[in-house]
Amino acid sequence: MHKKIIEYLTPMLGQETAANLLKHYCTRMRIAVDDIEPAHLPELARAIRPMLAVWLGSGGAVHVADEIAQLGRGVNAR
Amino acid sequence: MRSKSVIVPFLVSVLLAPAVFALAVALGDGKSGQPVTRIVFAGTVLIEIVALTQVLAARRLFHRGDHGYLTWSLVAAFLIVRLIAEFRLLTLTFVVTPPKPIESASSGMFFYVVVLRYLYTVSDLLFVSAMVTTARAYKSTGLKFNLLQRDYLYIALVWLMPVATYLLRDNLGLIGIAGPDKYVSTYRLVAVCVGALIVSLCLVVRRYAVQMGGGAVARVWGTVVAAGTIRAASFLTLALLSKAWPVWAPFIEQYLLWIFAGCWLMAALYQREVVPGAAVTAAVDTAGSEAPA
Repeated sequence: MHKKIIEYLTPMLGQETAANLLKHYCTRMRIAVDDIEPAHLPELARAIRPMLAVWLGSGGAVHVADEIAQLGRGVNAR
Repeated sequence: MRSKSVIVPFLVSVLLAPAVFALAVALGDGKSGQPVTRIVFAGTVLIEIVALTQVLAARRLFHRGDHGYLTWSLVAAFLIVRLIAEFRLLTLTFVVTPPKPIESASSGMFFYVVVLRYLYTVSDLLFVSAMVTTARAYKSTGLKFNLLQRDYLYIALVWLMPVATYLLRDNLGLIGIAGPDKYVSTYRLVAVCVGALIVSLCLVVRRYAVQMGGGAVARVWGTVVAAGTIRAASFLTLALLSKAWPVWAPFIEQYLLWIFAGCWLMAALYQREVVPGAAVTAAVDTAGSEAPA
Protein backbone atom coordinates (compact mmCIF):
# COMPACT_ATOMS: atom_id res chain seq x y z
CA MET A 1 0.00 0.00 0.00
CA HIS A 2 2.77 2.44 0.94
CA LYS A 3 4.36 2.01 -2.50
CA LYS A 4 1.08 2.98 -4.08
CA ILE A 5 0.88 6.16 -1.97
CA ILE A 6 4.48 7.11 -2.77
CA GLU A 7 3.86 6.40 -6.44
CA TYR A 8 0.85 8.70 -6.34
CA LEU A 9 2.62 11.57 -4.52
CA THR A 10 5.95 11.41 -6.36
CA PRO A 11 4.96 13.33 -9.52
CA MET A 12 3.89 16.24 -7.31
CA LEU A 13 6.24 16.21 -4.34
CA GLY A 14 9.20 14.19 -5.58
CA GLN A 15 10.26 10.74 -4.44
CA GLU A 16 12.20 11.83 -1.36
CA THR A 17 9.50 14.12 0.00
CA ALA A 18 6.77 11.57 -0.70
CA ALA A 19 8.69 8.88 1.20
CA ASN A 20 9.69 11.22 4.06
CA LEU A 21 6.17 12.58 4.41
CA LEU A 22 4.72 9.08 4.63
CA LYS A 23 7.35 8.00 7.15
CA HIS A 24 6.75 11.14 9.22
CA TYR A 25 3.01 10.56 9.52
CA CYS A 26 3.28 6.81 9.97
CA THR A 27 5.52 7.47 12.97
CA ARG A 28 2.89 9.85 14.35
CA MET A 29 0.17 7.25 13.79
CA ARG A 30 2.41 4.60 15.38
CA ILE A 31 2.33 2.25 12.43
CA ALA A 32 5.18 0.87 10.34
CA VAL A 33 5.27 2.18 6.78
CA ASP A 34 5.11 -1.36 5.42
CA ASP A 35 2.03 -2.10 7.53
CA ILE A 36 -0.23 0.56 6.05
CA GLU A 37 -3.55 -0.93 5.10
CA PRO A 38 -6.53 0.53 3.26
CA ALA A 39 -8.27 1.04 6.61
CA HIS A 40 -5.53 3.49 7.66
CA LEU A 41 -5.88 5.66 4.58
CA PRO A 42 -8.73 8.00 5.61
CA GLU A 43 -6.92 8.92 8.85
CA LEU A 44 -3.58 9.21 7.06
CA ALA A 45 -5.14 11.42 4.39
CA ARG A 46 -6.61 13.73 7.05
CA ALA A 47 -3.27 13.89 8.86
CA ILE A 48 -1.12 14.81 5.87
CA ARG A 49 -3.50 17.43 4.48
CA PRO A 50 -1.94 20.42 6.33
CA MET A 51 1.52 19.53 5.05
CA LEU A 52 0.23 19.06 1.52
CA ALA A 53 -1.35 22.53 1.79
CA VAL A 54 2.12 24.06 2.20
CA TRP A 55 2.97 23.20 -1.40
CA LEU A 56 -0.39 22.56 -3.06
CA GLY A 57 -2.65 25.07 -1.33
CA SER A 58 -5.69 24.06 0.74
CA GLY A 59 -7.79 23.19 -2.30
CA GLY A 60 -5.07 21.04 -3.85
CA ALA A 61 -4.41 19.38 -0.49
CA VAL A 62 -8.08 18.42 -0.11
CA HIS A 63 -8.11 17.00 -3.64
CA VAL A 64 -4.93 14.96 -3.12
CA ALA A 65 -5.96 13.78 0.37
CA ASP A 66 -9.31 12.61 -1.02
CA GLU A 67 -7.54 10.63 -3.71
CA ILE A 68 -5.17 9.05 -1.18
CA ALA A 69 -8.15 8.04 0.96
CA GLN A 70 -9.58 6.30 -2.10
CA LEU A 71 -6.37 4.48 -3.11
CA GLY A 72 -7.27 1.55 -0.88
CA ARG A 73 -10.55 1.05 -2.67
CA GLY A 74 -8.72 0.83 -5.96
CA VAL A 75 -10.46 4.00 -7.02
CA ASN A 76 -7.71 6.24 -8.24
CA ALA A 77 -9.21 9.18 -10.07
CA ARG A 78 -5.93 10.08 -11.78
CA MET B 1 -2.57 28.87 -20.84
CA ARG B 2 -0.50 25.69 -20.39
CA SER B 3 3.23 25.39 -19.79
CA LYS B 4 3.58 22.99 -22.73
CA SER B 5 2.23 25.59 -25.14
CA VAL B 6 4.65 28.25 -23.85
CA ILE B 7 7.93 26.39 -23.36
CA VAL B 8 8.66 25.69 -27.05
CA PRO B 9 8.11 29.27 -28.34
CA PHE B 10 10.09 30.52 -25.34
CA LEU B 11 13.05 28.23 -26.05
CA VAL B 12 12.91 29.17 -29.76
CA SER B 13 13.04 32.86 -28.81
CA VAL B 14 16.01 32.20 -26.53
CA LEU B 15 17.90 30.67 -29.48
CA LEU B 16 16.66 33.14 -32.08
CA ALA B 17 17.23 36.49 -30.32
CA PRO B 18 21.07 36.38 -30.27
CA ALA B 19 21.09 35.22 -33.90
CA VAL B 20 18.90 38.17 -34.95
CA PHE B 21 21.07 40.59 -32.99
CA ALA B 22 24.28 39.16 -34.51
CA LEU B 23 22.76 39.49 -37.98
CA ALA B 24 21.73 43.11 -37.34
CA VAL B 25 25.23 43.98 -36.13
CA ALA B 26 26.89 42.12 -39.00
CA LEU B 27 24.76 43.85 -41.63
CA GLY B 28 25.05 47.34 -40.15
CA ASP B 29 27.28 49.34 -37.84
CA GLY B 30 27.66 49.29 -34.08
CA LYS B 31 24.28 50.95 -33.52
CA SER B 32 22.22 48.70 -35.79
CA GLY B 33 21.70 46.19 -32.99
CA GLN B 34 20.01 48.79 -30.77
CA PRO B 35 16.49 48.34 -32.24
CA VAL B 36 16.74 44.60 -31.61
CA THR B 37 17.68 45.26 -27.97
CA ARG B 38 14.72 47.63 -27.65
CA ILE B 39 12.33 45.09 -29.16
CA VAL B 40 13.59 42.46 -26.72
CA PHE B 41 13.02 44.96 -23.89
CA ALA B 42 9.44 45.69 -25.00
CA GLY B 43 8.85 41.94 -25.35
CA THR B 44 10.21 41.39 -21.85
CA VAL B 45 7.67 43.84 -20.42
CA LEU B 46 4.92 42.03 -22.29
CA ILE B 47 6.03 38.67 -20.88
CA GLU B 48 6.15 40.17 -17.39
CA ILE B 49 2.53 41.32 -17.75
CA VAL B 50 1.45 37.82 -18.81
CA ALA B 51 3.56 36.34 -15.98
CA LEU B 52 1.78 38.62 -13.49
CA THR B 53 -1.65 37.36 -14.63
CA GLN B 54 -0.45 33.76 -14.16
CA VAL B 55 1.13 34.53 -10.78
CA LEU B 56 -2.19 36.00 -9.61
CA ALA B 57 -3.93 32.83 -10.82
CA ALA B 58 -1.35 30.68 -8.96
CA ARG B 59 -1.96 32.77 -5.83
CA ARG B 60 -5.66 31.96 -5.99
CA LEU B 61 -4.81 28.27 -5.46
CA PHE B 62 -3.89 29.06 -1.88
CA HIS B 63 -6.06 29.84 1.12
CA ARG B 64 -5.18 32.98 3.11
CA GLY B 65 -3.72 30.86 5.88
CA ASP B 66 -1.46 28.83 3.58
CA HIS B 67 2.25 29.59 3.37
CA GLY B 68 1.92 29.73 -0.40
CA TYR B 69 -0.61 32.56 -0.24
CA LEU B 70 1.93 34.94 1.31
CA THR B 71 4.69 33.75 -1.00
CA TRP B 72 2.68 34.23 -4.20
CA SER B 73 1.28 37.55 -2.91
CA LEU B 74 4.87 38.75 -2.48
CA VAL B 75 5.74 37.48 -5.96
CA ALA B 76 2.74 39.36 -7.37
CA ALA B 77 3.78 42.54 -5.51
CA PHE B 78 7.33 42.07 -6.82
CA LEU B 79 6.08 41.88 -10.41
CA ILE B 80 3.67 44.82 -9.99
CA VAL B 81 6.38 47.14 -8.64
CA ARG B 82 8.80 45.86 -11.27
CA LEU B 83 6.26 46.57 -14.02
CA ILE B 84 5.81 50.15 -12.77
CA ALA B 85 9.59 50.51 -12.99
CA GLU B 86 9.54 48.94 -16.46
CA PHE B 87 6.91 51.44 -17.69
CA ARG B 88 9.19 54.24 -16.51
CA LEU B 89 12.03 52.74 -18.52
CA LEU B 90 9.72 52.20 -21.52
CA THR B 91 8.89 55.91 -21.58
CA LEU B 92 12.57 56.83 -21.26
CA THR B 93 13.44 54.44 -24.08
CA PHE B 94 10.67 55.18 -26.56
CA VAL B 95 8.96 58.48 -25.59
CA VAL B 96 10.94 60.94 -23.45
CA THR B 97 14.57 61.86 -23.98
CA PRO B 98 16.02 63.08 -20.69
CA PRO B 99 18.30 66.13 -21.00
CA LYS B 100 22.05 65.67 -20.73
CA PRO B 101 23.55 66.16 -18.29
CA ILE B 102 20.65 65.03 -16.10
CA GLU B 103 21.51 67.76 -13.54
CA SER B 104 20.14 70.30 -15.99
CA ALA B 105 16.71 68.63 -15.96
CA SER B 106 13.75 69.88 -13.92
CA SER B 107 13.46 68.41 -10.43
CA GLY B 108 10.46 66.36 -11.60
CA MET B 109 12.42 64.89 -14.50
CA PHE B 110 15.43 64.25 -12.25
CA PHE B 111 13.16 62.40 -9.80
CA TYR B 112 11.61 60.41 -12.66
CA VAL B 113 14.93 59.42 -14.21
CA VAL B 114 17.27 59.01 -11.24
CA VAL B 115 15.17 58.32 -8.13
CA LEU B 116 12.40 56.15 -9.57
CA ARG B 117 14.89 53.62 -10.93
CA TYR B 118 15.13 52.41 -7.32
CA LEU B 119 11.67 50.93 -7.81
CA TYR B 120 13.61 47.98 -9.21
CA THR B 121 15.41 47.70 -5.87
CA VAL B 122 12.08 47.81 -4.02
CA SER B 123 10.76 45.05 -6.28
CA ASP B 124 13.90 42.97 -5.72
CA LEU B 125 13.43 43.26 -1.96
CA LEU B 126 9.91 41.86 -2.42
CA PHE B 127 11.49 38.99 -4.34
CA VAL B 128 13.87 38.47 -1.39
CA SER B 129 10.85 38.33 0.96
CA ALA B 130 9.15 35.75 -1.27
CA MET B 131 12.25 33.55 -1.18
CA VAL B 132 12.46 33.87 2.61
CA THR B 133 8.82 32.79 3.01
CA THR B 134 9.47 29.88 0.63
CA ALA B 135 12.45 28.68 2.67
CA ARG B 136 10.38 29.03 5.84
CA ALA B 137 7.55 27.04 4.26
CA TYR B 138 9.93 24.17 3.55
CA LYS B 139 11.27 24.23 7.10
CA SER B 140 7.74 24.43 8.56
CA THR B 141 6.95 20.95 7.23
CA GLY B 142 9.28 19.38 9.78
CA LEU B 143 10.79 17.17 7.06
CA LYS B 144 14.54 17.05 6.46
CA PHE B 145 15.46 20.08 4.37
CA ASN B 146 18.98 21.16 5.21
CA LEU B 147 21.81 23.04 3.56
CA LEU B 148 25.02 21.15 2.82
CA GLN B 149 28.45 22.52 3.68
CA ARG B 150 29.19 23.24 0.04
CA ASP B 151 26.10 25.50 -0.14
CA TYR B 152 27.76 27.87 2.31
CA LEU B 153 30.80 27.91 0.04
CA TYR B 154 28.59 28.71 -2.97
CA ILE B 155 26.93 31.53 -1.03
CA ALA B 156 30.34 32.93 -0.10
CA LEU B 157 31.34 32.80 -3.77
CA VAL B 158 28.14 34.63 -4.75
CA TRP B 159 29.18 37.51 -2.51
CA LEU B 160 32.30 37.89 -4.63
CA MET B 161 29.94 39.14 -7.33
CA PRO B 162 29.27 42.56 -5.68
CA VAL B 163 33.00 42.79 -4.92
CA ALA B 164 33.89 42.12 -8.57
CA THR B 165 31.23 44.61 -9.68
CA TYR B 166 32.57 47.23 -7.28
CA LEU B 167 36.08 46.77 -8.68
CA LEU B 168 34.65 47.21 -12.19
CA ARG B 169 32.30 50.05 -11.16
CA ASP B 170 33.71 52.42 -13.76
CA ASN B 171 32.14 50.19 -16.42
CA LEU B 172 28.66 50.34 -14.87
CA GLY B 173 27.83 53.84 -16.05
CA LEU B 174 29.08 53.44 -19.60
CA ILE B 175 25.91 52.15 -21.25
CA GLY B 176 22.20 51.77 -20.71
CA ILE B 177 19.14 51.14 -22.84
CA ALA B 178 17.77 54.66 -22.20
CA GLY B 179 21.16 56.38 -22.07
CA PRO B 180 23.35 56.28 -18.97
CA ASP B 181 23.93 59.04 -16.43
CA LYS B 182 26.50 59.38 -13.66
CA TYR B 183 24.06 58.12 -11.01
CA VAL B 184 23.32 54.82 -12.71
CA SER B 185 26.49 53.07 -11.51
CA THR B 186 25.50 53.63 -7.85
CA TYR B 187 22.09 52.15 -8.56
CA ARG B 188 23.66 49.16 -10.33
CA LEU B 189 26.01 48.53 -7.42
CA VAL B 190 23.02 48.51 -5.06
CA ALA B 191 21.21 46.20 -7.47
CA VAL B 192 24.11 43.76 -7.59
CA CYS B 193 24.19 43.62 -3.76
CA VAL B 194 20.46 42.90 -3.62
CA GLY B 195 21.00 40.46 -6.49
CA ALA B 196 23.64 38.63 -4.43
CA LEU B 197 21.12 38.37 -1.61
CA ILE B 198 18.56 36.96 -4.05
CA VAL B 199 21.03 34.39 -5.42
CA SER B 200 22.05 33.38 -1.88
CA LEU B 201 18.40 32.68 -1.04
CA CYS B 202 17.97 30.97 -4.40
CA LEU B 203 20.79 28.59 -3.45
CA VAL B 204 18.95 27.76 -0.22
CA VAL B 205 15.65 27.11 -1.98
CA ARG B 206 17.42 25.19 -4.76
CA ARG B 207 18.96 22.84 -2.18
CA TYR B 208 15.57 22.21 -0.61
CA ALA B 209 14.01 21.63 -4.03
CA VAL B 210 16.78 19.16 -4.96
CA GLN B 211 16.18 17.32 -1.69
CA MET B 212 12.58 16.72 -2.75
CA GLY B 213 13.86 14.20 -5.30
CA GLY B 214 12.11 15.64 -8.35
CA GLY B 215 8.41 16.37 -8.76
CA ALA B 216 6.27 19.29 -9.89
CA VAL B 217 6.83 21.43 -6.77
CA ALA B 218 10.61 21.20 -7.15
CA ARG B 219 10.20 22.19 -10.80
CA VAL B 220 8.34 25.37 -9.76
CA TRP B 221 11.05 26.46 -7.35
CA GLY B 222 13.88 25.34 -9.61
CA THR B 223 12.49 27.68 -12.26
CA VAL B 224 12.18 30.56 -9.77
CA VAL B 225 15.79 29.96 -8.72
CA ALA B 226 16.86 30.16 -12.38
CA ALA B 227 14.99 33.49 -12.70
CA GLY B 228 16.68 34.96 -9.65
CA THR B 229 20.14 33.86 -10.72
CA ILE B 230 19.71 35.19 -14.25
CA ARG B 231 18.45 38.54 -12.95
CA ALA B 232 21.57 38.97 -10.82
CA ALA B 233 23.81 37.83 -13.68
CA SER B 234 22.43 40.55 -15.96
CA PHE B 235 24.13 43.29 -13.92
CA LEU B 236 27.38 41.36 -13.65
CA THR B 237 27.31 41.02 -17.43
CA LEU B 238 27.14 44.80 -17.78
CA ALA B 239 30.06 45.25 -15.39
CA LEU B 240 32.20 42.64 -17.14
CA LEU B 241 31.39 43.35 -20.80
CA SER B 242 30.63 47.07 -21.10
CA LYS B 243 34.20 48.06 -21.92
CA ALA B 244 35.33 45.06 -23.95
CA TRP B 245 32.02 44.44 -25.80
CA PRO B 246 30.11 47.74 -25.80
CA VAL B 247 27.90 46.65 -28.69
CA TRP B 248 26.89 43.30 -27.19
CA ALA B 249 26.74 44.20 -23.47
CA PRO B 250 23.33 46.00 -23.43
CA PHE B 251 21.83 43.29 -25.61
CA ILE B 252 23.11 40.47 -23.39
CA GLU B 253 21.76 42.26 -20.31
CA GLN B 254 18.34 42.59 -21.93
CA TYR B 255 18.50 39.05 -23.30
CA LEU B 256 19.10 37.71 -19.76
CA LEU B 257 16.12 39.74 -18.52
CA TRP B 258 14.01 38.21 -21.30
CA ILE B 259 14.95 34.74 -19.98
CA PHE B 260 14.26 35.96 -16.42
CA ALA B 261 10.72 37.06 -17.40
CA GLY B 262 10.15 33.79 -19.24
CA CYS B 263 11.25 31.81 -16.18
CA TRP B 264 8.69 33.65 -14.02
CA LEU B 265 5.95 32.90 -16.53
CA MET B 266 6.94 29.22 -16.58
CA ALA B 267 7.16 29.05 -12.77
CA ALA B 268 3.63 30.43 -12.37
CA LEU B 269 2.29 28.02 -15.01
CA TYR B 270 4.07 25.09 -13.34
CA GLN B 271 2.56 26.06 -9.97
CA ARG B 272 -0.90 26.01 -11.52
CA GLU B 273 -0.23 22.52 -12.88
CA VAL B 274 1.21 20.96 -9.72
CA VAL B 275 -2.03 19.12 -8.93
CA PRO B 276 -3.13 17.67 -12.26
CA GLY B 277 -6.82 17.45 -12.90
CA ALA B 278 -7.80 19.18 -9.68
CA ALA B 279 -10.52 21.78 -9.87
CA VAL B 280 -8.78 23.64 -7.11
CA THR B 281 -10.49 26.43 -5.31
CA ALA B 282 -9.13 28.36 -2.39
CA ALA B 283 -10.70 28.11 1.01
CA VAL B 284 -12.27 24.73 0.39
CA ASP B 285 -11.59 23.71 3.91
CA THR B 286 -10.02 25.73 6.66
CA ALA B 287 -8.42 22.53 8.00
CA GLY B 288 -5.96 22.83 5.15
CA SER B 289 -4.46 25.97 6.63
CA GLU B 290 -3.44 24.33 9.90
CA ALA B 291 0.26 24.31 10.63
CA PRO B 292 1.79 21.03 9.53
CA ALA B 293 3.34 18.88 12.25
